[in-house]
Amino acid sequence: MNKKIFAFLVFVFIASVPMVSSVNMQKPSINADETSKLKNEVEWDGEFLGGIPKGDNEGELAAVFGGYFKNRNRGGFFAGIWSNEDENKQGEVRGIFGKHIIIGKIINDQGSLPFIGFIKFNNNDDTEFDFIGRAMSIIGPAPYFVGTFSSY
Amino acid sequence: MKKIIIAISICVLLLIMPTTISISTKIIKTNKNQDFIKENHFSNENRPLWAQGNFTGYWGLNIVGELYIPLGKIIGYYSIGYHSKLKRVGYFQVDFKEFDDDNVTRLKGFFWGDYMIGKQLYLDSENTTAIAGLGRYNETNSEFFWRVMAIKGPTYFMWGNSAKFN
Repeated sequence: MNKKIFAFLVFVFIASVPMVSSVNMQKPSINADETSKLKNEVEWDGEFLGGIPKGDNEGELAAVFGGYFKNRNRGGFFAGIWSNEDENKQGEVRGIFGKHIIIGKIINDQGSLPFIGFIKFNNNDDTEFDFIGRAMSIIGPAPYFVGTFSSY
Repeated sequence: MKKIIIAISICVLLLIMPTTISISTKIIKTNKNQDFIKENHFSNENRPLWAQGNFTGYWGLNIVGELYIPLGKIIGYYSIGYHSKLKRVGYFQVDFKEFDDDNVTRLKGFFWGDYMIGKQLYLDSENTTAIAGLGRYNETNSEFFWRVMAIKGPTYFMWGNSAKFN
């Protein structure tokens, strides 16, 4: 009987490993002072916060982003800031989003790069993320991103 | 003596690696392959009514937007600027073919300046895959470059030249 319980516990432990690692993803955080300068641009409908998980370690984030969004009929537009602490880079991110598509520009001191991608909004409570997507620019990788948002 | 030979071999191997990468990039950048332009089966006679021009070129894997591995050829139609206020908005249709393979995959979509969205059609089924892309167009030599991706999988490139119908 003890062996069965032990085997069951081992199974539960193994099964819970991926679940735990996804729940324990590093929480993205953005300096509020940086986003505050965007806050008065328009009357925003809400704010978002997200990150780009590192490819080799899902628990850590390669970059974080956060800002504000405004809803329109079938989508909306947004403005925020992004930060990559590993490379000590940061800048702005602006764009528009639809039901499944997101396009925009990432901007920093050196210029701007357009990006395009897919986005999916989660309406269920079975995940900690409100949206997940994948984006790319004309160069560089095409990473996945995840995040949350809250409406005012 | 053996150790020296091994060390030299490793050095040569390491030196060759970047050379190989740069060579594969150079091929796609310099080989215009005029014979493919000649074998273009599009013409003014059988073009779709909406088409204003056509384009030919290559497609392939695009690694981090910097390394280009050609996998096949592309031939397509485009139209642009239907509306006076939407001069940079256009429509395209492109057929993909792998080298030495006659199977064709079709891509249709819209582009708006640098941005492109569309879908990949599988001719043997009704399934489609959404695609998104970013591109550049050089008006001087009619050369275009697009980087394309789906929701998963690698990113691809399309590169070639376009020609406007008379």
